Amino acid sequence: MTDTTEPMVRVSQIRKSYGKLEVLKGVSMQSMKGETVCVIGPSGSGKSTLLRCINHLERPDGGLVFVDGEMIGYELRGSRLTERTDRDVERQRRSVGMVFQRFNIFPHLTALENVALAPRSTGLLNRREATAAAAEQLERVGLSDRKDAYARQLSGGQQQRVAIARALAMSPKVLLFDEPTSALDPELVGEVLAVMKELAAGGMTMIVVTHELQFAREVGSQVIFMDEGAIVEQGPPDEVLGSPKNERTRNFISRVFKDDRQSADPSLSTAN
Amino acid sequence: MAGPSTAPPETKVDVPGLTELVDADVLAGRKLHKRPHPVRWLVGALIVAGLVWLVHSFAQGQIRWGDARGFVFNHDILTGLRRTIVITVLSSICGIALGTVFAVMRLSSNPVASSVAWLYVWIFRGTPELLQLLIWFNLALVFPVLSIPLVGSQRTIDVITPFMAALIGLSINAGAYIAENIRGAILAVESGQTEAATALGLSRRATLTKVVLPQAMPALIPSIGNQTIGLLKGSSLAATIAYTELLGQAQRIYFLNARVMELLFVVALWYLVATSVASVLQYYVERYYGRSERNQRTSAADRLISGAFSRLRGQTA
Repeated sequence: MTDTTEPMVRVSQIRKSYGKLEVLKGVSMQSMKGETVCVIGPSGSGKSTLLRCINHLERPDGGLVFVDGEMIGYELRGSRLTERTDRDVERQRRSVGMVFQRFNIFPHLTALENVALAPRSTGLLNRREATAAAAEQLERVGLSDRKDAYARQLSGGQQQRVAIARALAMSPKVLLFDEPTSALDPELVGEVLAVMKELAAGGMTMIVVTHELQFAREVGSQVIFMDEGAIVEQGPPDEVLGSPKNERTRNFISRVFKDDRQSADPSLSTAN
Repeated sequence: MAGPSTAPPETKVDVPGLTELVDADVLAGRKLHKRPHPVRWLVGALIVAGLVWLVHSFAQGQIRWGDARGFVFNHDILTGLRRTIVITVLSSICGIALGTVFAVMRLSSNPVASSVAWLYVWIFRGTPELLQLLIWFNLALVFPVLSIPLVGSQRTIDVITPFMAALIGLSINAGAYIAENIRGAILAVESGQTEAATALGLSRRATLTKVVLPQAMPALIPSIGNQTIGLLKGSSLAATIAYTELLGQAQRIYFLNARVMELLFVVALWYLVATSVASVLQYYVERYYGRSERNQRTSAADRLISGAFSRLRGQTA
């Protein structure tokens, strides 16, 4: 199935409006297997919506998403592109992991139960296997000592790492990150970025919506700058972040770097 | 901050009410007393006096307390109490089942399902419970015969007995309130939770049962508990449709012996016992579901009950 010349994620002409507001104006992008694509841009530029279209959390008004060659959310019935059944969409979502800005850890479950829930209830693994796999994933994000902790007993950084382990437990083909460090206290950002760097180094395909330009520059295979529902500029991180061609990109980057300097927190620039 | 002092500082202070200077440390060694509350005492005494007068009036009134005492464990009264408990438990279970179904329907993306659920709540929450019971009880006037295709048919009065009419009426009425409670509790769960579960590929059903409902439970238990206690008392309405539960039995007895107030007080006593037991059960169920709650909230009532229990335990220990 996996073809090295075929992108792992292909987004084609995605359009989405909320009422009169056009959030995505025909966005196309792709990510090869093992790539880390960083999507940057001002708030309201449509980055999150783009991400949410990739796992069909959001139903696009037009355009298609392919993950590993499979059409997400829609199928051809005869010659008509028709939305898939719930069961089908659920199956497809299992191969696309997502990490949210606000962690969304299940507060009624322990860290281990959070990670084991989906493999178990989707029938991927049985109870014993799911528990073992969950323990393994927690170890991978450095939380094997917090297995039995509830969300309220964990710091934001730890909660986000549990959320990453939870997404990894479904062995996804691609991981989507929606501003994973934006809700964190500055001193906790580093531990989450460190886990993400490790994943990138391990060959995970990732699409990361972020304001961490330093991370984008170090880890990103390509950087996409979005504004007002469209991709303004994309390319290798050094080009987009180092010598942006578009004025809007330049303005945005200088604004973010200024904010970083003002916050004067060392962990922002030296995240591991 | 200050340099080392050679002489100890002067500790004499001038206190109003004393003629000479006193040593602050000596004064500080004295016992401290609470501020007196004469008004509080006065008001308290007046209230107690009022209560004593009230109890005295009832004790002196034309009530034969001896007779009342005799009726507390009367066989017919206990039968009525049993029926009250049975109808309360059954209609709670049916009400919760109905409420869950209609709450899920109300939140469904199917417009027909959600409209039907809205209609259900609108009708059964918008009309008096007593009226509903009377309508169910008199259903035979509209449909003399109930027939279900392939199952058979029966005379309505044989099916809709007073017990069935009470069960149906109370369950459907409670279900309408419980549906709203469940809907509210589900909506109160942060939408990010549903999103995270959906993104993991969980089915809607698994999202509801494994993620949303467990989190809605702590908010739901108190309202369902109150609903059940309401049913316990509301079941007395069934007396008007000839279902002889606790109140109905008492009425049957006092129609014969005219000990009206004696029996009504006995009934009141049993309702208080039943609702108290239900409150204690509710407290334990709440505590069970509150275990992994994010913030442990305790109300004054919770503290009252838990305090009473720890005091009881302390005395027996």
